[in-house]
Amino acid sequence: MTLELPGVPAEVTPESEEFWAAGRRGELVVERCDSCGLHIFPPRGVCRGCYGRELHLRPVEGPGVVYSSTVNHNAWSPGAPEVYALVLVEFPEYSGVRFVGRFDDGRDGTGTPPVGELVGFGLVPAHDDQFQLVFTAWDPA
Amino acid sequence: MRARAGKPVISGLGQSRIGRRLPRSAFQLTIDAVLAAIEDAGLKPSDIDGLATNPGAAVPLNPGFNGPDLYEVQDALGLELNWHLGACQGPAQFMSVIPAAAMVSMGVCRHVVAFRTTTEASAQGPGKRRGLGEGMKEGDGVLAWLLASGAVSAANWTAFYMNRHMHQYGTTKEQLGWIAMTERAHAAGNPDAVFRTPLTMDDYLASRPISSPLSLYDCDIPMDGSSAVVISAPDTTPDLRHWAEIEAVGSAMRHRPYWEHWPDLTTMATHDAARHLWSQTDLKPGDVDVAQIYDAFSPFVLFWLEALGFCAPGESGPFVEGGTRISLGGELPINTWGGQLSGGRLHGWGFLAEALRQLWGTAGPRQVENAEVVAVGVGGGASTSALLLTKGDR
Repeated sequence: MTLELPGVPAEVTPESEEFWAAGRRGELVVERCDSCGLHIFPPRGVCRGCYGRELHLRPVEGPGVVYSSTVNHNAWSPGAPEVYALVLVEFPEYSGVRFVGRFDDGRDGTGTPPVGELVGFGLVPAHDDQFQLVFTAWDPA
Repeated sequence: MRARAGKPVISGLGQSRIGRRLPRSAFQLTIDAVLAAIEDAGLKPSDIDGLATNPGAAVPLNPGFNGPDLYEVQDALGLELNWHLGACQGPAQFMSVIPAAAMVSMGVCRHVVAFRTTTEASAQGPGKRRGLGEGMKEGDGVLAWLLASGAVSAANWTAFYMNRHMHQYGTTKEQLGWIAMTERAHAAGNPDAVFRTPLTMDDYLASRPISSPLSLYDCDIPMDGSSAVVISAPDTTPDLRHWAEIEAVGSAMRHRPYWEHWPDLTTMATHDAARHLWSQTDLKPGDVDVAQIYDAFSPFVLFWLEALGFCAPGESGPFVEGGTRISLGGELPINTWGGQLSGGRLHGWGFLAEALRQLWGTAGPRQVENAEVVAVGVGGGASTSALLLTKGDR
């Protein structure tokens, strides 16, 4: 699907370079601390739990859990879409890291899943060589 | 923790004209406010030895957001300064006031002017309100991920919090409506307020949706205007016309400074700032006569009421319902000037101005009788600050 959400690309830093490179391969990644296992996002190169400096990127796999949601109804710049659902999704298996993305309800795009619902996700190209996330109802298959 | 011999005071308040699309530059509005504040304190520009603002010269998040360059203000008034600060990273809208209070307490300065200017109404023009970051090439820092993900308005971010509060506590849209309606009623007593005609629940519920559950009257309105205060050393009070003591400040940042990564979205950074505020004083929430609470979006009021301890966690919806408690004459009048929802978005400084007027007995028809303690909480999401101000006694 195409995604035409408004927004500006994130500044790419030495810490986030690999995150975006993984995104171009279709992977959503977070850092994992080698010593204590805490997951860190955005990437920092340091663990906020144990101050470990050895962290490696690990792909995030679904399902996520809906933490909150909203349906946007306002065009935030001329020509921008007005109506789209946004979800804030938590990944309990990954130390609870959260991501924001659009929710595709498979219908008119205004449906939002209830808090606690399981969701899957996909990456769609955005801002040239970056991506945005699209969440959908969780399909274990 | 009370380590101070005497408390820093706020000795003067000045505001420029306040309105939508004023035919006056941000710079002139600022000079208007600064000179008025100095005069209100009974001082001369040559008495001023500190100058602070936020953010000043920095990349604007929105057109008209920043106000003028601090250096140009210093130059225009020929100020001889011991200290100055144009701050773009700090505890929310009082990031200039709090260090100014520290400077006068340390003896680095005697009288600091702090100001905040916005011309967002003019910059926005006649069109609709824009998203954040639109003029930027890329987003950096703690907003980068939101701005890249399509959540380009703080309305979206606030909606995440409000939905979570509703989910967990059963808070309702109508309860939010009581905040907008109460503030509108208060604005009737403020000639500078943008919206002064009464708002009904029907009007409120029928207003255009912005980001569910928020609709138009849950959002503040961009303004042109400048506010300035003079912050003075404790030992200057014998020479002052009037003053308010800065009893305590809330400047804490104890959790992740990201809207989306805040640990519990039924709370905000308000909770850190409020806890920090109360840790510095013997006063209690029950001692507060009037509260001035930031309302870029109406839900912020709920989060601040809980954070400041005016009601228990989750009970802010019932607390504001019906408007009785939070109206003039109620047990805790809030946002007596109309707040940013009806008074206009002066980016937190309308609350500070009103707090001082309440303490100095100059709030006119909206005066709270015998107001001696005012709590001011500004900001929301992951960045907030607070002041506890008390009436100065000669």
